Amino acid sequence: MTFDPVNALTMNDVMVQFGDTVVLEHVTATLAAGTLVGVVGPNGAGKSTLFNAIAGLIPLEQGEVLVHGLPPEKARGRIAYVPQKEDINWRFPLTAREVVLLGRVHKGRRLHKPNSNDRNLVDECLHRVGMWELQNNLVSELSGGQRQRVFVARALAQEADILMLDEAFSGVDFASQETLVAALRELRDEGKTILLATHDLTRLSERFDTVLCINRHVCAVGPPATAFTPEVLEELYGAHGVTFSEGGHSH
Amino acid sequence: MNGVFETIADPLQYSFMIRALAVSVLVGVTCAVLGAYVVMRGLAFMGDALAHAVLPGVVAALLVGMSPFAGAAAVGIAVAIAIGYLTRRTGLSEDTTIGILFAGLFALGIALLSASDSLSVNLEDLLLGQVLGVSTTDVYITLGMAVFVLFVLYFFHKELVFTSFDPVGAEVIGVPTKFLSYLLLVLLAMVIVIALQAVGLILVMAMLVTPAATAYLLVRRFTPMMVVGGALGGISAIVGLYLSFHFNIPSGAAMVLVATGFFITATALRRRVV
Repeated sequence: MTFDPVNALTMNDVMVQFGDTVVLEHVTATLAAGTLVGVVGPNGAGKSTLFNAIAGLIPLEQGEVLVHGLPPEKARGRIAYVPQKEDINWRFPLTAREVVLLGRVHKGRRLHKPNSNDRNLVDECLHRVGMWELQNNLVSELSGGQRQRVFVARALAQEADILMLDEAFSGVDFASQETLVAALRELRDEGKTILLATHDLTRLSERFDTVLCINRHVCAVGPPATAFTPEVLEELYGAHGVTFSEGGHSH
Repeated sequence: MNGVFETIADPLQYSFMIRALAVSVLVGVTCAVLGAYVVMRGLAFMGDALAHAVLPGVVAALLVGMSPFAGAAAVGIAVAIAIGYLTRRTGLSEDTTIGILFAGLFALGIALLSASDSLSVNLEDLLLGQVLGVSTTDVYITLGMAVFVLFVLYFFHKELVFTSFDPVGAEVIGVPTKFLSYLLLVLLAMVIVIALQAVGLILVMAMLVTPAATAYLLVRRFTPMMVVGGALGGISAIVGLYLSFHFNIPSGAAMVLVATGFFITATALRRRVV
């Protein structure tokens, strides 16, 4: 198997099961490199599980995942992951800068101290997400949107090809969501592939190039304008979801 | 009342006091440095449980004439691994499995100790520590284990910090998070073993948690927290040992009281309110 620069992610009939519960089945989709993808579905639809499967953290019951043409375990380091905020130990006293520096953990040898290359890169990443001024603040002191931007900077420092953000909009106000999306768009323009899981349907078509709608299986995948039909919405959220989404679009 | 010099110098004419001082400082520093992880990862109950659970290992080792270090280390490491295994196997919460193993093994230790008349140790020494009784060999073993623990913490520092802050993100980037979780438990078991002589198994938890928590109140970042915690742990051990000598208080209790005094002072002085 060789590196595939065109298709960032390929999922073929992926099935994931925890005990007797099927969490994902018949997930088939191909996502092109350099796209900003919204992974949309209600809570419990299997979005986090899909991310874990892509990252190679959980075994597949059947099917396969390819990351730039490679099995996930061979693609370690190419994927950067921003977990949902519940999975982070916020009490742990690290500054924004220290968190970004964690992105360099797999580079260089053991006991290797950050050199000027690492430091310059961290500086640049902090600048790019607009967190330079707040770099010495503890992450626990930052707002939800600022925290997300610190994690994006960490992904940049990691020099990953694919960035996955789980429920990145939760607890983040509207303006900060827009700032985050603007930062992600810049990365997309450089050829990175970004997957952002959200159950929030606000401004989906303005924000994403592609939406991947999942609710245990793939309900739809494609540009938001065509993928997001009322039928798909109903499959995702039930009849109630249609009105919810229209409400979301109106402002 | 003696002068300051005599207060400090007098005890040092006894070689048992010098050995006790060496062991106490090593234990105070190592406990507190590792304690930074115990505090930030919420392992306090685990630490307390491990300390109690090693009792049968200590007693069994003494019964067969082996070093109590070996017995305690073997049981401590086995328990650390068993807790992880039982939690996954039974689906019970971790604090429940910890509680079961902790109480069960402690009970086994008491039973073994009571059933054997031949043993010269008494329960009180194990519970409260008997640092004045340490041998030169004990000092070297303590030194070796303390250096080992501190070196491992240094060697895996970046990875341990990453996985303590963001376990999922760390695993995705390729940090061996499961291995590191077990490694921390093994280090915890080792530190508990060397701390048993100095403070006894009841008060080990205080040496793990209190200086590190005090440091958390005094400095903002994690690495300085390990350094300041280590210093506070070492100072608490020294001052405690002197108090123990001059006022005839059990050494473990004296050290823990000093560490607790630092904690109360830091709480009172603390300006930063979250």
